[in-house]
Amino acid sequence: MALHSAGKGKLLAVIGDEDTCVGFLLGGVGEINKHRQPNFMVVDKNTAVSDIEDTFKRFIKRDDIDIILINQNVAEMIRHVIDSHTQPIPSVLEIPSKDHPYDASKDSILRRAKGMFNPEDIH
Amino acid sequence: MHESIDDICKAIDENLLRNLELMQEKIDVNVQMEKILRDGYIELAKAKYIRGKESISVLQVPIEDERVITLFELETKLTEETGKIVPNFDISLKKSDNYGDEIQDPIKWFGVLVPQSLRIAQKRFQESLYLVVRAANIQAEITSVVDKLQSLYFLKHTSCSTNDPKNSVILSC
Repeated sequence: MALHSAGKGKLLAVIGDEDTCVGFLLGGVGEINKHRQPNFMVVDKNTAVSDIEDTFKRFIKRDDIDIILINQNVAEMIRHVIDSHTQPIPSVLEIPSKDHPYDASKDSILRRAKGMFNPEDIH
Repeated sequence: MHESIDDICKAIDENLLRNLELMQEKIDVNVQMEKILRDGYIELAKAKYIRGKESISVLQVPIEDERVITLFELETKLTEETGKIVPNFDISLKKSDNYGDEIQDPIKWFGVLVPQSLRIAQKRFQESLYLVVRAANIQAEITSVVDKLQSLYFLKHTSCSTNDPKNSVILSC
């Protein structure tokens, strides 16, 4: 195992409901870069799924973001996009929201890991 | 690679066990994170009750201001394991003496005299970030183990099909 490279000063991004975003911004996660692009997105009931998808894809493309936090209920809306993201960086983490507790059976990574116990499905 | 089918099966078993351990670890970290976040949401709700719903919302975040700078420093180390890149994350608070007045405490966006519950909420969300990083590291390891398992299954499959039919029946490939 060899050290490939190391990067400092990377960011966490947040996609979630207002309370999740306010909480993490209050915690000090927020940053607005030179191009005035924030590293968070507030999702409410009027937010279009396509907007969430676009923001998620934009966050994936940004090289300063290494971890994306997304509310699990929001992740459910764009599950196909999350499932298709298999790169190690940025790491996508599903977190619970105020109204939706965490459900391990919906988590993309855990579902992939669980799939390893059915080798017939792989081939 | 000239590994025997027994070696491959042994490696699959070891990786499957590690996979199970990691899954359990990930669920435990997520449960811990959920508890801390729940406390954070409750304290945030208390602060909203005291100050009014409008005074603690995303509208207070100075989006037009470029001086919104993160308080944390996320470090990512990339290691190469059997051709795949595995990240390892580490998070720490930025040292204020390196940045001077550049970094502003986000709690000031919500006023000077803020309720105590808002300070507690801030602490809870900051605590949760360390768990987030732990969960991200576990997730990276899960991905690496899953990749290894996939290649081992493939190896087993190919070595079974090249073996004589008698042997493959015994090994139930």
